[in-house]
Amino acid sequence: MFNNQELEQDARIKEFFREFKNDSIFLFGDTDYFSSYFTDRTAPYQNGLIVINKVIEYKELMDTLLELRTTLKDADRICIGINKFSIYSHVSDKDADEVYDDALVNSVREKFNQFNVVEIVKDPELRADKFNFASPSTQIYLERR
Amino acid sequence: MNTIGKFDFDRLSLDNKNTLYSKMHPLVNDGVDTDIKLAIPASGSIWIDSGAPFLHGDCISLESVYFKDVFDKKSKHTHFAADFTSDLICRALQKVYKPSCIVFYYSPFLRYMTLSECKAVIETYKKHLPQAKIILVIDLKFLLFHRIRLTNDDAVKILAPKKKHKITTFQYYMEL
Repeated sequence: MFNNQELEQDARIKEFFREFKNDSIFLFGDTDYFSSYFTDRTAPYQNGLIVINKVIEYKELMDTLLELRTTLKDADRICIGINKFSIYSHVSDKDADEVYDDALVNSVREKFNQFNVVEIVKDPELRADKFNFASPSTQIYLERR
Repeated sequence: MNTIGKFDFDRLSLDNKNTLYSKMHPLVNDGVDTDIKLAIPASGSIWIDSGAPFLHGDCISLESVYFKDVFDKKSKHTHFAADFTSDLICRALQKVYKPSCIVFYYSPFLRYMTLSECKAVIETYKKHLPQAKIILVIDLKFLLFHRIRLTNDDAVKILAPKKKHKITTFQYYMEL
């Protein structure tokens, strides 16, 4: 929430899970805002919400997503939100897509390749004339094939 | 994505402006980072969008016009601008002060710039104030660059500093 208004990125996540909000969900990362929205957190999980909003090295992020894929092996739908500004790399990967937002999305898709991508939300045109304390997240919405 | 087009500064209370300003300018509450040895020449430094008047009341500084109310109105050396990147501003600073140093200390106006945009700002200051040493203390977290194809050190190289010091993963001190 900001200034008593729900952030668009949060509202979008709620909408994605609206029909399934009473199903079991695994929450990971910066998800406190959603803790009262979802009621069931018992495994096996039908849904997964992953929000990465802390400084993290790229390889560590990929390893974390691999582990989460195992945790969410029974899930039907997953939302992954990543604050793209929080990522750094120890080594450069010149094979990554030339566009950062696309490279990030592609690497997430590869980890969850048993899912269809329902929606991708990114903002490559983010500029200083916008208000950005709201941690702009790149969001990837997935549903099991 | 929640991004609000622009602040309505006219409707923002002074308390909120103070809070916002201090959150964006770490110098206000924290002073100079103890990991940094600011190599500032004794004579004539100008601090750009850095919150320096809160540290040294009599320093010369250029601050955002949107935050004018936050500053002591009696200060003769705190100036205000809407655009820190213009040739006009740089020429005025040179004409009035001919400073020996320009300091950008976590200056928020550099946020969400690409590396080349950030470098262009530095080049503008170097062009119009050729005698001035440029000190840039920056949090790369807020710059736009490809964080998979570039390491943070790669990003710093693009800014081409003469001297650099890594403070934290994203924070760097540079002399340019």
